[in-house]
Parts: sequence; C-alpha cells; structure tokens
Amino acid sequence: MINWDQILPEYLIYWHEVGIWKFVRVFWYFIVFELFRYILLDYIVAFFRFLFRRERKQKFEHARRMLRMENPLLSVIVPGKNEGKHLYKLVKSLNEQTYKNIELIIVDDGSDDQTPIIGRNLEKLGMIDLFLRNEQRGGKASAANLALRFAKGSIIVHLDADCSFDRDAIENIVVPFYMDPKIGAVGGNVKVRNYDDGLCQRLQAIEYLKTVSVGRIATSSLGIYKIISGAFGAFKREAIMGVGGWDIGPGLDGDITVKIRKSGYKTVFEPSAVCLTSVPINFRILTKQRLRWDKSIIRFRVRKHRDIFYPHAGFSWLNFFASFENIFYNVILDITWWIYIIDVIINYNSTLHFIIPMNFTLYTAVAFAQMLSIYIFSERRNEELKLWKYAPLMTLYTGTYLRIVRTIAYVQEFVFKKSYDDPWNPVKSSSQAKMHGF
Amino acid sequence: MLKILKQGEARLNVIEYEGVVFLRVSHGGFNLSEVAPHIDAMYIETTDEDVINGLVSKVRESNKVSEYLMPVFASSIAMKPALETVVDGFVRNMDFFQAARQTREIQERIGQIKYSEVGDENYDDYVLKTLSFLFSRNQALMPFRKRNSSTGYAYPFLCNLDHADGFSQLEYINTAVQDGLLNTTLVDKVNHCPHCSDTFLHFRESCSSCGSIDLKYEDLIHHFKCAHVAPLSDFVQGDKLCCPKCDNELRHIGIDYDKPSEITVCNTCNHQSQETNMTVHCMGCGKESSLSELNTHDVNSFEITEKGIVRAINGKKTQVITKHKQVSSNVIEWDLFKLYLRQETKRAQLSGSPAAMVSIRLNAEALWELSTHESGVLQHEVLNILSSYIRPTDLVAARNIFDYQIIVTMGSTEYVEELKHVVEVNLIKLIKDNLQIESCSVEVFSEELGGNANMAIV
Ligand SMILES: [Zn+2]
Ligand SMILES: [Zn+2]
Ligand SMILES: [Zn+2]
Repeated sequence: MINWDQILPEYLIYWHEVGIWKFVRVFWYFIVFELFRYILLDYIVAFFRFLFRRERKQKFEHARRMLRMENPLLSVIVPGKNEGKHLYKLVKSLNEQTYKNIELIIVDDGSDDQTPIIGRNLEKLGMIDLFLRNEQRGGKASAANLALRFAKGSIIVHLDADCSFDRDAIENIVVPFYMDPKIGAVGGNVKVRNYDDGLCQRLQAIEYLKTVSVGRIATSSLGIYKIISGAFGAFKREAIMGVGGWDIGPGLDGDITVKIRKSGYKTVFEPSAVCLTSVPINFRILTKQRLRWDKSIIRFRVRKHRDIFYPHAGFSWLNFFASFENIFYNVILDITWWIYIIDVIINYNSTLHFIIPMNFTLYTAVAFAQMLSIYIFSERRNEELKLWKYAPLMTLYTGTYLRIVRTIAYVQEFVFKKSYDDPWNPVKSSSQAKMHGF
Repeated sequence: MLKILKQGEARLNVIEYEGVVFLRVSHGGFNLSEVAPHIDAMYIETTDEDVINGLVSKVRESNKVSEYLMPVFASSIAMKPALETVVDGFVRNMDFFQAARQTREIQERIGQIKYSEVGDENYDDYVLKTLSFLFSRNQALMPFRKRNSSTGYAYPFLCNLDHADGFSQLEYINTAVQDGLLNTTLVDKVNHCPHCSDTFLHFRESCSSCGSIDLKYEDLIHHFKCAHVAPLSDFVQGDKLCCPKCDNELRHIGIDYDKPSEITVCNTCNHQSQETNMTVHCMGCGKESSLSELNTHDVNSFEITEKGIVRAINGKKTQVITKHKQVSSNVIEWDLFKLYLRQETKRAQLSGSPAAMVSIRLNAEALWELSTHESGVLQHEVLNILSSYIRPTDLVAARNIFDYQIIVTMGSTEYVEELKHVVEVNLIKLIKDNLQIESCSVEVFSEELGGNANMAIV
C-alpha cells in the first residue's frame, strides 16, 4: 500500500481531501476558460486535422500544381520607416524563393536615415522593382496603400522588412487561393528568429507558437481566423482593392482581415508558410509593443467593427464568432480574471497557501500540454524541443505579466482613447481618425 | 578742361583732359606704334562689341610695354557685361574725369616696370605680359561669362591676345601658378562633354527603364482619413478632388490631405517610378553621356603674388644674366647647372665619395627695386666673388639675382663650412658697400648630395 501522505506535497493532499466541488469552486476560472480554450479545443482540432490530413495534403498539392501552371505575378509590398538596414538581407532572402514571378515594391515612409539611398541603389541595381518614398511620413497604412496603388500582381503579399522567409514561404502562402476561390486573404506562420538569445525571447517564442502557430490553425480550421499578421500576409487583388486597402493603424493587420471577411471572403491561416521575425529583446520594449497591440483590440473590434454584433444585411455568424472569440478571450477573460482574483482573495483568504501552489501546478501542467500540442502541429518540432524546459515559466509570463499589461492597455484605451496619441502614426492622420470615430 | 585737337597729316582725333591725351577712335584704321608716343590712353566710341574687342586686341597684342599696357576706355553707350572687364572703364557723357585719374594711376605703375619690351616666343613671355598687366591694373584676373568660349568663361586681357581662348590660356597661366607667381581662387566649376570638351550641354531627366525623355510628373496624394494614397489624377473629378476610396471630398491641404511625394510616369514605356536618370546631351557633338561621365574643370580667378610682382617689375632675370659674358669657366648657366647637379648626385650615390651643394640666398628688399641693368651688374659681381672662392672642380650658377647654388665635388665637411662662412661675409660686404643697403642678410646652407636628400632644385 502506497502512503500518499509521504510522497505528495501537503497542498495536493489538501485538494484531494476537500473534494471535487470545492476544487471546481476555487479553480472555476481555470476549468471553465483556460482548459477548454487552450487545451481541449486544440486537441479536438488536432484530432480532426489528423483524420483529414491525407485529403488536405492532396488538395494542397493539387492547388500548388494549379498555381505553378498559372504562374501569376505576385506583388510583394514592404512598407516601413527606417528599414534600409534590412533591405539587402530581405532582397537576398526573396531571391531564394521557390516561386519566382515576383515584383518587389518597397515603400519608404519618410525615413530619416540612409533608407532612401539604400533603396534607390537597390532599385538601380535591379534588385527592387520599385522603390517609392514619401518625403512626408503618412503612417504605415498609407505606405502600404501607396505600394498597393502601383502593384501589378493579381496577388499582393505584404511583408515586414525585418522578416526572413523559408524558401517555399511565398509559394505556400498563395497556394490556399487555389484551394478555394472564396478565400480572399491568407495569413503566414510567424515564428521567432531570435528565440535562443534570451529568456524574454524564449518566452515570446513559446507564446508565438501557442497563439500563432497552434492558435491560428485552430481558429482557421473553425473558420473564425481573424488576424492576418502584418509581417506576412497574402491578399487576392480584388479582395483588398474592394475594401480600399488599409485604414489607419495601429492594429491594421486585424482591421484589414475583418474588412475582408465583412466583404464576404474567407480568411485562412497557412502553417507551412513560415516567416521568421525578431521579437523585442527585453521586457521594457516588449511592454511597449504589447500596450500598442492590446489597445488596437479595443479600438477595432469593440469600437470600429461593432456592427459585426448587430443583425444587419451583411451579418455573418462566422464573423460574429470570429470577433466574439477575439473579444471574449482577450477583453472579457481579462476582466473575468480580475473578478476571479478578487473572489479568491475575499472568500479563500485563509487557504491561499494551498491555492497558489495548486494554481501553479495546474498552469504548469497546461503549459506542458500545450508544448505537446505545439509539437503535434509544428513543422520544425525538433528545433523547438529546447523550449520545453521554459514552459513552467509561461504561467508567470502569460498568466500574470501579459495580463497586467493587457489590463493597463484596455483601461488606457477605453477611458482615454490613448491609441490616437500613439507616435506610431503621424498626428495629421490620428487626429482625422479620432474625429471620424475610427 | 576739355580740348579737342586734330593732328595734322595723321588726322588724329584726340581728346585732352587735364593733361591726359585720349585717342578717340571708332575703327581700327591707324598705326598703333606711330600714334602711341603721342597719346596716354584710348577712347573707343562705338557700340559694336566686335570693333571694341578688335581695337583692344590691337593694343594688347603689341610687344611694347608702353603699348600693350595702354589704358583703353569705351563710351558708356557700349556698356555690356561682356565688355566690363575687357576695357579699363566706360566714359559717360564725355566726362573724362575718372578715366584720366585711372590713366595716371596705371601710368605710374607702368613707370616702375624695368623693361620696355617682351618677347613673343614662349610661355614665359606670355606669363610676363600677363603679370605686367595685372601689376599695372592692380587687379585680379577675374573670369567673365562668355557664350562662345569653350569653357563658357573668358579672361580679360587674355581674351584679347592671339591664341587666347579656353584651355590654351589656362595652360600657361597654370605654369605661372605652379611657379608661385599667381594665386588662385575658385569661381566656378564647369562640366565638359567627355567626347568633345564642349560646355554647351543639355541636362534632362530620362526614364530609368527605357531612357526616354518623354516623362510625366504627378503628385501623390495622401487622404489622411482613410489612408488612401494615389496619384493626383485618381482624385480629380471635374474641379474637385474626390477620394476614390471613401468618396469624401478633399478640401484643404494639410488638414485632410497632403502631397507626400511625386511619381514619374514614362510616356514611352509606361514605367512608373520615382527614380529617373539624368542624361546629358552635348550640343557640340550630339552624343549622350551620364552625369558621372562628364569632365569637370575649375574656373579660377588669378591674383598676382609678391613674387609675381617682382617678376612683373623686373622681367625675366635668368635671361638677363645669360646675356652677360662668362665670368669664369666654372660659372655655368642655370639649366646646365641642373643637369650637372643630377649627374653629380648620381655619381656621389654610386661612388660613395662625398659631394655637397651650397645654396645662397640674398635677402634684401632693395634688390627688387634695381633696374634690369643694375641687377645684371649685381649678379655678375656675386658670381665673380663666388667663383673666386671655389676650387676649379666646383661649379656655380645663378638662378636669379637672389638665388645662387654651388656644387662642391669631393669636398670635406670642413671645406664646405669654411666656404659657407667666406661666402656669407663677402656677399654682405658687397651689398652693403655697393648698394648702401643696411637691412640685408645672406642665407647660406648646404646639403649632402647622394645621401637620403632629394635633389634640391626646385
Ligand atoms: Zn520608359
Ligand atoms: Zn479617402
Ligand atoms: Zn560633345
């Protein structure tokens, strides 16, 4: 007979003894939200993808053959400010692509460094097809729209200059257009390039794998995929022209996806179109970046595209769920989490020394369950194995750090509409956007 | 007082103003050397630029100092930028006050010049003529714009000399700059066709794709509210600007839209870009070049240096001395001396036996004021003294009245030191006794030949 009292720590025995209902009562937040959304859903999707894997592969290969036969011109557009230093590497990385019929358009949005000289030079050398420069900065949306205006391709691929790409990334991101004509936009799989450089980068790498690589496969499979990453996305020409291109950011990635979905197209995620990006190298920069991203959720989902939730002529249940899922898992869960914390502090003050370790145990278990789902979905799972040992820290990273940042962002945006003051956009654009309620 | 005289048979039309006599001409029908002794300056009364230039050339091309430096004025009715520096001045309403004063100033400077004629054979003659002109005018040689010149610029005085246009002028002027007679100040840079050196060039933008010059330029418009960016023509609806994306009217630049840049559209190949090439079309030979292929030339103004003034006043000293009879067999001419020096340096290098060069420089302001004849005599005396102290195997030469050099072959250090001492003492004595000059010094220094030192001839 095993003596559990001697093997297990005290808190586990406590939770064993108080019974299941008390356990559910105390960890209701974890059981209701986290377990379902991040574990069960992923495994259900993984199961179905596994069932239909052959079919999907055949469909994908067939579409690839169609693409190669037609060989359409792709316009790769790269808007940005002060990105000159990345351009040569970007051009080199694009030269390696398996898909060759590409025109490359770089837009320099009022850079105040060497970018214009570098860009003009590369254009002269024939390494860039068109280098456009706005002497006056207009913001990222206007730079992307300028490129769009001069793009000749039937598919527009939008990239960030500091990204690099798997050799077949461009080809794979356009294949889905040949799988279903209703697809208007495809998102690429963004992973972290500098994941091995430090703790901050490693935690972000796990987060990207969780939310981008796995999370988006799940939402895409359910038909509610809603954020095409600005770092790597492809758009059917008529779809993006139909919605008039990009509107003022920040968060224009999510915005353009919602606009395209609203105009009747499907949007999907393509995990095999892999792009590597460099993430913030310390928590100070990361906090700034996340504050900006999180504010855009309020601004675009909640404010600008609130009509998705109203019954009207263009109403779509999928769009409703896409936005609902997004708002629910970001805004509502965030608020609920604080309710949960207050609930625990008020009602279970005396047993905190049992609750906190149990909480960590649960989240760590979840973290490993997620690493397993990442392992199942990933196309470079073996390289990612070295991230496993950092999984326990994810409890603090996503469970605490990112939640606090998110809460600050929501408060700032809800109460003060802070994102309009973001220096990321020139004042002229922001003030116009604020006035017109975008 | 203004008097108009008619000179008998020559039928000269002259104007005398306060003792200054102006020859009044409107064409070139006179013999310059015949009239020159009777006049101080020339006054040209015509509006024809070519006639004025012809008359000025007639004067400047003379070899006689009194003729080629003669002040020339023109009537103010002919005033043109291209003539401003060619003539010495313009006379307004027959008022010769300024012209007479200028003439007297110029004449005073001409009076200091110690030669009456220059040769017309080589660069040196040309340089001397130019130096004397700049000295007499107390002015820099400022280029003026000239359409039909190959550089686009011409220089006063030079442009009225024989083969005096564009590059050939600059060739000998630049030798004077190298000799330290003139200083330069950059005035302009001129581009030349790389094929034919012409400066009549057309610059124009061309398509970076097909090279066509048929380009259309269009502003880009950024509509702030919806972030739409497109060429202006996308927005034009009648008189209004309307956004094709959001249908709003654009009313106020800076408030709801701006023009962040421009785009160029090629009408030949339809290439759209912000990058155009600059091509240069030469109107001389008709060939096309790129900007980077063009040759660039500096256009300078030239100011006379102290050394140039000495030369302008005294003429060519080295030539003066060579006309003198040989003092002794080891006094040789400068050119020959340079040859020997080179030989001796090589010999010393190979044989390892010592050789030295002694340089002597007379420092006396007063020497500048000597006449051609006087400086000739002085130089002769100096060479006499030097040759009397050196050994038969040594050689001595004068570069000009200031500078002398001696090659000491196979001399010991003691011998060289002693020679330097004797030379210094005796030369100071010579100058002080004969010229009654108090402030003078003689610099004497020596260097070993064939050692690490390079040849000391400058
Ligand atoms: Zn063209
Ligand atoms: Zn608009
Ligand atoms: Zn030419």
